[in-house]
Amino acid sequence: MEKFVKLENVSKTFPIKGGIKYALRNINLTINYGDRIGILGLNGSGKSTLIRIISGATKPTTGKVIKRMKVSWPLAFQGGFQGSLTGLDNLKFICRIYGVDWKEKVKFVQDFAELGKYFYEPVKTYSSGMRARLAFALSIAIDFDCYLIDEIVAVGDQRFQHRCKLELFEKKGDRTFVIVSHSPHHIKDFCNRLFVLSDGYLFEFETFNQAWNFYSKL
Amino acid sequence: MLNSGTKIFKNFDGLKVMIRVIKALVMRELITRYGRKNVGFLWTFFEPAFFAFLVTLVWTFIGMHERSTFPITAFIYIGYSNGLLWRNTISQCFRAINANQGLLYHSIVKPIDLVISRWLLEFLSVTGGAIALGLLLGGFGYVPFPHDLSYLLLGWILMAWFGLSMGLIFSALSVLSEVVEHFIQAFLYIFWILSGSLFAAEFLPPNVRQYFLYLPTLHIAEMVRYGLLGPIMNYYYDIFYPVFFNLIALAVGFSLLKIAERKIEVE
Repeated sequence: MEKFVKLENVSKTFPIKGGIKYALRNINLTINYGDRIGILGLNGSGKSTLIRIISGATKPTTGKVIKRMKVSWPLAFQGGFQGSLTGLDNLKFICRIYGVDWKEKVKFVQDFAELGKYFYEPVKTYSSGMRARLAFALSIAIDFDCYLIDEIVAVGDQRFQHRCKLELFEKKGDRTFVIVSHSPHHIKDFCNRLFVLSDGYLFEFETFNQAWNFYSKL
Repeated sequence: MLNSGTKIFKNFDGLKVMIRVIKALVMRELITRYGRKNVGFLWTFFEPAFFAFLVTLVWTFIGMHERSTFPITAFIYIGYSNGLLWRNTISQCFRAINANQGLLYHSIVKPIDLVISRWLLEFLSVTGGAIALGLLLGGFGYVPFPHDLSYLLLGWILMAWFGLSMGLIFSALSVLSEVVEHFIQAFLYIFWILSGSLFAAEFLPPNVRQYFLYLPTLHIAEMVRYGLLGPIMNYYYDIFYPVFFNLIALAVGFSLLKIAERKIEVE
């Protein structure tokens, strides 16, 4: 079966005082398996809304999303953590919903997140760095066809960042990636389809330079 | 032919995923709500126990036990426990979506899974508490062996169904409007008194009773009381009325949730 995600005439509006605000306007986008999609956008351009729509966390106001591959939650997202759950509890939960045997993933997550004995302590006792490492480790513990990345934020020290890159962009390099960011970093070298999101409109460009020219004039 | 075959398979697959997600949510909720020692679970046992004890105490104190053979402890026990099936489930369900929004980033977790998992956990804990308390009170001779188990079970299921339907409605409403969260506690409090879980239809004057019989909860409470206590008084119920009511409420709940889904904003 062909693997893709298709957004058809997707618009998203939010009610604001005295009217409605368009976060996304009539977006048409087909993400094919193996695409490395980079989307540049300023703050408030609708980037995070777009990621939420693709992940399924938010439904479009009009239009539809057809999903024919396994799409990740936004990478390293921490919103699903519950303070009283331990790192292990969170791992078990994630594995259970995705139908993966958690026992097979314990070693990987424990090693990767470098939490030591804190892995068995409630998440509320973690430092922000520990949380971020756990979130990252959980994101890559589950195998997806398509990874969503909302701003590549540097997590941990140099060595940890290097391992993240290795696990994600090299070991899973054949997968699909959707990266939204306000900075060209990573997008420039890594992505093979380039977009700019501006005021809710999505524009595709042939080359990075074209996209960058357009984006830097916004 | 092939098409319809794959379609059925796909739907079955969807159901499998849903069951898997709900199971994971229940296990997660078990830890977050009750803690690792699971003491919170005991509350569904102690709350009706405490109330039944209090009422029995007053009953004895005013000398009613000498004038009447009415099984007051069993009457309170069964009505209260049965009523918790809707009161606890609604109060757990209505915040289910707002409290767990972050989980919706996992696209296989649907809002309805959040509601159903909370309902299921509450159903299991209320039922467990009721069975434990029933056995204890039964051991001391305060609760008789059920007169008709089928009515007891039917009433139990109908009340759980009522709780689920209302839980869906309120969870959707609390997404659609912030005001709902504020008035729901007051609603639960008032309805707890009026629902019929704590009084029998026979206690009411006929001209008042006819209005109270619009409440499906009174019909259901009458059924479980009959199931447990047998023909010690006149019961007023129609099996089809709560079934009919629940069907409509469930349909309304699903529709409202569909509308609410488009409004859910995840931080």
